[in-house]
Amino acid sequence: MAMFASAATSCLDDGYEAGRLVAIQALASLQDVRPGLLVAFITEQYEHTEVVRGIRSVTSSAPLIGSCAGGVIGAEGILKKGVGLLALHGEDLQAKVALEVGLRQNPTQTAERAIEQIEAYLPDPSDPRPGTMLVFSDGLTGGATIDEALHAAYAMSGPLCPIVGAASGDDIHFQKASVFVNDQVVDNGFAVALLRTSAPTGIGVCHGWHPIGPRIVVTHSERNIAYEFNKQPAFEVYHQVLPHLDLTIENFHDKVHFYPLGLPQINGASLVRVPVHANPDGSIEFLADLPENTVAHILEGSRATLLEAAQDAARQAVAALNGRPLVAALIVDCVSRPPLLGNETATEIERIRDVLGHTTPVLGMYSFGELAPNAGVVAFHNKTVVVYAIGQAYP
Amino acid sequence: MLSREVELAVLYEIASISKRTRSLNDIVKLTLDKSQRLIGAEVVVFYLIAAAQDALQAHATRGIRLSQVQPSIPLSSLESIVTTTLWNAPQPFPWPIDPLLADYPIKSSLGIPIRDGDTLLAWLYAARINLDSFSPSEVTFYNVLADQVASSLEMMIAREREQEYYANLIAANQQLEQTLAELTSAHQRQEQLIQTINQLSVPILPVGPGVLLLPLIGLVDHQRSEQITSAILEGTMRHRARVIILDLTVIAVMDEQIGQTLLNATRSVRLLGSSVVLTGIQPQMAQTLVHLGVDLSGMITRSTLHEGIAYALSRTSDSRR
Repeated sequence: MAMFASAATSCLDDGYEAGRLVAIQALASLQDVRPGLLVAFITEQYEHTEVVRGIRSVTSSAPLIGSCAGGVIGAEGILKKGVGLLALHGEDLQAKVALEVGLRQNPTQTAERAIEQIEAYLPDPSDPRPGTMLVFSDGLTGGATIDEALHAAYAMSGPLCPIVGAASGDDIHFQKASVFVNDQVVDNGFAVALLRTSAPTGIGVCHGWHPIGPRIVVTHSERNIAYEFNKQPAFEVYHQVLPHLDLTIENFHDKVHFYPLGLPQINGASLVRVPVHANPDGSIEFLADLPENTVAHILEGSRATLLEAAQDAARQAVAALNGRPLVAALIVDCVSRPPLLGNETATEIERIRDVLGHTTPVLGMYSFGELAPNAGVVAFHNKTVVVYAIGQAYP
Repeated sequence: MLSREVELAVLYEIASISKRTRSLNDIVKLTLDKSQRLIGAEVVVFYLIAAAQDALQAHATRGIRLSQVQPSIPLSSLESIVTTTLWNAPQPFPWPIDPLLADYPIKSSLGIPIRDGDTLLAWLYAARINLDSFSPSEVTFYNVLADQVASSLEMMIAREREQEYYANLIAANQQLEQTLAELTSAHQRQEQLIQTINQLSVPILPVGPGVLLLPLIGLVDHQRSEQITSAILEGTMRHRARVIILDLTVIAVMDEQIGQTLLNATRSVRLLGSSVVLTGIQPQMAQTLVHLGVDLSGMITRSTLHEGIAYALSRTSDSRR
């Protein structure tokens, strides 16, 4: 029942060749056994269909899932331009993939149609092989859309099959966010892979942002637009809590990167919500829904707290393996963290790898949003690090 | 152990539910959202009292598909459970029916009755599979949530009743307006019909040069009497009639009203320089007229219509010579 994994990255200019190269490298490390599942991340500079064609020219019919990334995280560090591939093999590993288009227009139905394709393979409560649902969702469709799709997916997958994944995106250019399954590369898509194995898996979620200032009540909001905090225009409250920023409607977008909003959760952590821009009427548009009458805080982070959180996410994931050796890990890191981390961006990945082990096959991406359980239930996260760890199967 | 700040935040958000619920859909959505996001239930089922009031029906879910939960629970089996009940594996299940159909490896679950006084409005089922059991604080949160949901449902029911009352009023008013319109229309039709009948009941027939015939038909009341007199005068003038024959052949019963009509018509025609000939007077009718005191002395009478016409034509031909 042993599990095997390998990861490879390439930054060749030619997309097809880059795809071929990572596939050849990954399969070679797997000693040429057929992979049960392939996960690929590709940065925005490539023609994604060409990269996928390159990968598939080597891996043939092995199930493939992946997305556009704001950067690829691999053994060599962070690639601003590159292709990464993680290959998994296990004797009892079963993977089923599905893809649906139409997320922006109808998030619930699109997610449901995708899950319905693999529903027959969802684990029974008594099944010794629990499942994990990898999800990659077009990040340009917006957080509110993805949030809705996630709830629909979770209603079908349930707590027996946790969801982990990413909102796809580019390096904050907001131009490319394709997702893919096997030979199909699409925009506006919802890609899923059901991973079933008796090997233990673990998910770690952490962000490192901490509340500052007084508590704020979201007194008027609709979906992802906050009109009023504490019965004042939302922008005014941000301005009052952060007077040193000299916020204006015009500079709001550029100056609040490092001051997201946090919604307290029962597990003690805040669910981070990113303000995108302020409107002339004083409302603020956020990346995801902000329920009315929610109590919130403006959050602040430092390089130290963000680095510590990334390491904590890795620790949580590994701890969930119940002492079993780590076989491989996926990292989903928010694309908005590097601007704060600056020249310590690579340190964040190093800290994660310090926990995961520097020889463990690891693949990661920078995302427009992180999908992972929050207090047991899947949630759409922002400015967060998610680590998904796969352990060695029990003998 | 929750921090005071988190407790306050969770309580505030839960306690605000009734502020913003406008429909059943709102209530259910917020309840499921708070149950999961705020209080960390991995599976939530919202049961709502059925229309027949004899069972609770699964209305909405989170973390599991609606089709995969117990669709209906008899009300009788839950009515006695008046407070939130916590269950932890491997204790015996406290509810007669497992909402998750006994298949889920649940670690702990809560059954939360949502009541309006003694009446069960809904039942919330919250379960955990991967997380630890519900803490006393979390049970308290669910109790607050249940109170809020109950208030929201009561308000919604009151609003629905009010809307139903106004809808009924509007419907009754519309019905009334429609009935009134129908009655008005019927009345107009009846008026037209009466007018037509009246015209037909006073037929003035020219039977020769300067001779008009008016057969009296049907009952003659005061109104009709006036119509007859008016028709005779109008016909006399229009046709420049010299003789008007009033035929009583089909009048079965002679009464004072008819007698008076005959007198009035005769006097009026005379004033125009013409004369009236009565035809078809039966012997019994003649007796009645005398008995009624109608003076026939000034009237020309003939026993049959035929004779009356012959007389009239002879009079008019004499005058033309």
